[in-house]
Amino acid sequence: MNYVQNTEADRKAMLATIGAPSVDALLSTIPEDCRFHGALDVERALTEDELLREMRSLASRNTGADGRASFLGAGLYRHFCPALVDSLVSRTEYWTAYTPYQPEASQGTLTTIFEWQTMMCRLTGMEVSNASLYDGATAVVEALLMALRLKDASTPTHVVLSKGLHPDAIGAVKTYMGSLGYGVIEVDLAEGATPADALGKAVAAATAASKGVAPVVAAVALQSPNFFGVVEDVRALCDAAHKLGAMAVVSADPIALSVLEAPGDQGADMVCGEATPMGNKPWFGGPGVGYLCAKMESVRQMPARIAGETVDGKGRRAVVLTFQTREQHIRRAKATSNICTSQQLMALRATIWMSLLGKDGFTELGRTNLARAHYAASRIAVIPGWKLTYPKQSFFKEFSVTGPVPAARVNRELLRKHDIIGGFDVGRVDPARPNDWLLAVTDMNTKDEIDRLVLALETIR
Amino acid sequence: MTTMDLPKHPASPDSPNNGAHAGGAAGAHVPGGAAHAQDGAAAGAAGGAAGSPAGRVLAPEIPRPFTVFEASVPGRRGVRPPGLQGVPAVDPAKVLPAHSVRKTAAALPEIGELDAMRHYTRLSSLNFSIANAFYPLGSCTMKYNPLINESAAALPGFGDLHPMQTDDQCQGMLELFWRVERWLIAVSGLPFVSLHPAAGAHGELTALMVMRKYLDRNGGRKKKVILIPDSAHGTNPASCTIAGFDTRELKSTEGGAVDLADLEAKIGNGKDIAGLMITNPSTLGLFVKNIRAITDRVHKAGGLVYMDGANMNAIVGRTRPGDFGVDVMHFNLHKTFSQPHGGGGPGAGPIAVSAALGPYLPVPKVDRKELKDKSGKVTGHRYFTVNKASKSIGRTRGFMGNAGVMVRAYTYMRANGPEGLKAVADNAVLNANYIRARLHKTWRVWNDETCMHEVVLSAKGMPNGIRALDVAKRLIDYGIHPPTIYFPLIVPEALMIEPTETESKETLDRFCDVMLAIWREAETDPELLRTAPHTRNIGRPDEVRAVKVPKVIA
Repeated sequence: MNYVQNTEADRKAMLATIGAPSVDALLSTIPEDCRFHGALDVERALTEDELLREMRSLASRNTGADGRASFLGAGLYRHFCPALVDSLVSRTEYWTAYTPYQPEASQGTLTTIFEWQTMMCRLTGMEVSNASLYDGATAVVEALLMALRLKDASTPTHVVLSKGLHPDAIGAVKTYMGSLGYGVIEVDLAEGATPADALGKAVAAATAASKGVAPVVAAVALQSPNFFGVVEDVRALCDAAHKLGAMAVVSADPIALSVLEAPGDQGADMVCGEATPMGNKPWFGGPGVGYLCAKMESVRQMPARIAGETVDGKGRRAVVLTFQTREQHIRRAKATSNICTSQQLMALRATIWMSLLGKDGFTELGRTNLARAHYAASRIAVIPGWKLTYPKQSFFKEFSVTGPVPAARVNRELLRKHDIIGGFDVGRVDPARPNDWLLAVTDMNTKDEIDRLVLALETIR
Repeated sequence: MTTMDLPKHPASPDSPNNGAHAGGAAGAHVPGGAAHAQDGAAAGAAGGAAGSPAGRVLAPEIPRPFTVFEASVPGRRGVRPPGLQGVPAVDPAKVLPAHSVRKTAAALPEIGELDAMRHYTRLSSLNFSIANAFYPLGSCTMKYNPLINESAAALPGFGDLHPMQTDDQCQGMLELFWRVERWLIAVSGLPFVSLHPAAGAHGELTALMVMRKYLDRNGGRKKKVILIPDSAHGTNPASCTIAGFDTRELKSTEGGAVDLADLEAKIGNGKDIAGLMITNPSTLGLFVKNIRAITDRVHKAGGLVYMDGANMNAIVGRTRPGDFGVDVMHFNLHKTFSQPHGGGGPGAGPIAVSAALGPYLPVPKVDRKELKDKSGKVTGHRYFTVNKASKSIGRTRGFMGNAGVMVRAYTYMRANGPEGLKAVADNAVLNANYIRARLHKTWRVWNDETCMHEVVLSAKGMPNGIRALDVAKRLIDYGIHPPTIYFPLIVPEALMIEPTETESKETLDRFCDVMLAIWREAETDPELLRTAPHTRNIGRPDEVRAVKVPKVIA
């Protein structure tokens, strides 16, 4: 089966108009020594019913979180999503539309981008947002690249990363910076958090290591709550970054900003992160949606699309893509970024999600997360052999516990015996901590699920 | 009601439909015949005022909320989120440091469910989309987005799968990744594939990083220059900059091929040449006939050849880039493999590479091993992720790829099979040439020779100084999305038309009729074109004002 509508008669009529004897003759513009005459090594075509059976079979060999308790977060979280999000986003006018380069044919998408930008700025306490980025990890990368451009005059040499950033964000930053020839200075955590005085020390150590040549730091990137769930002292860290002459980039779970202070009000120069959990499923890691917000003074160094309001010739309000001279299709090699495609449909889901929860609902959702997570933590901390890994730190919806046996074993037993998907095994990123276990407890985890988890943990020794 | 129910307004871009379930309305143009401007005019009433022929306003425009914020009323509630449900309440001030507690709630909208539904439904009606309009956007491959793909993606087991789950819990998804890789290997003729890149430009960047590392490890540290034809997509040079390369522009010949003499001159002694980025078929819609000579010359200089796969739809199954000297390329799964464009994303830009470059691909990778019974007979496979590879460039994103896009691409490839994929290229080329043949007596076809999947017209010299922009905007009035305009840069007043294989002859005929009608309008009533579009809720917006008086949030 394929989706071609031309019949044999159509093809004949069209070839007659073209004046070509056959389709193959049209393809003869491909030199013979480049032509491929073999059969493509792909499986035979399936009819729609066969295809759906095959897809069901593949899907059934995944053990997803549908209809099952899951406490796995580690950067991608499950949250309540109103039915209306699916219904609205399934409108073909949204999901089959192209990038809104023609504003008269795209006011729907453009207006929702404008709304998204507004909502993200209101959550983060910033002044400008772009239309979205690939994901949370590349959002951190893009924020740092933006800082490097903004600091161009002082020829920056390094960026500083808190080790509380998501490990994938750290990995992506290292790849990009390595490719561009910038240095990466990593700052260790103490008790699960980034000590503000550690930034200066790490830079001093880097200076000593390079025989007194001080690195010129463009930006410090941190995450709050960090990968281990710990709420960082964002204000102190932003101040410390500024003392180094660097910009402060804060990666934040936007849902945590229901309860936590906006990073923009604590000194952040840029706020970025993974917005996927607002109305989107984890989707095995993609497609998700990253976001990036900044101050208006930096707008010309922002990567990717930005929508702005204007008027038409009759004074009617309209939204267009703006500041396009930053972008690759205009500026080519001098563009602020190579990004063209955004994650528009995921951002649209997040936009409608935020609209439906609304001002009060969003705050309530945050408090539900805070309460459920703290209930779970208080129950697990009193199971013999279990403790909170960072008892002095505060958290929002995710926290680390240390158990009596390796987390990998806990996860295996939970799934096999209790049909529960456990937390993140910290040993996967830090082999020295095999018994640390990162638990995400959200509004999707009922009290009953939490109680079942606690009962199950009591049996694992 | 679907657009099918509206025979008098066949191309109505504003007709409401019921979302995915009404997807059958795709290609809803009524067969044949020249269009009349009033078709589009009648269709454009949404959000605008409908005027009578005598100029009397029949339905004066009474504004609706422009954004969701203007529809907000303090204290109004939408959906109730999950509550505490038996868990004790926690005061944020008790568990968080005082200065970390949010003091003022973010001013998110305050709107009821019904009004939110109406707001976002109305906004959707202001969009053109594949489901309600022909979209001949050159270089973008706006083909039909099959609904079976959406059904597959909605199956339980895909969307709720978490990337941090262990391999044994993700066997279905890992197998799907593995098989998509195999099929892209088959189509590209290159032996290794990475599904990581989130989009075409991300594929370019990932590939350039792979090239950089390969060159560094193989005595090519000083190779810093990537050659790029002046007809290339803007992402090509932009990706080079982000990957730390310098670019050197190659002149195209009149026919859009690379000028070999210029290539020779720009390569020079070849010492600094890291490689070439080339789009084939070119952005002029022509196969680069001297591609072998070009790739041979770059290889001779110790450079690598990158192919921008944006135009893969024209050649799937008919030629394989690996067979004409390409070392690395990207695919756009949102072009060639029917992932819907989503109003600007998501996409996916997997890359395929040669054997030499394979070890440098990003991690994690998917692999499999055979499962055998006691007699040694293969009973199946176990799929697993490989997180470390000594030569890998490392990570370029979070997790390991846009799995939702892979599910749709898999479904699409499996629906087509080997013969179906060849029919894609054949009919894409046939449809583009049909448009060329129907228009070339009136319109200026930039290279009036057999083209591949797209045909490039030039509006330069149109009657009364009409420009490509005017033509594009006038097409909107006829319910047709404008082609790509002013690209490629080497064609003055370019109109780049890519019909794709999924359009019917009747849709192409109507498009050609409209284009011929617009030409006549340019002769007889140019003002009509200069002030188009006339049928939408807005006319041409003031883009200069959007920059000079920036308003990027409500």
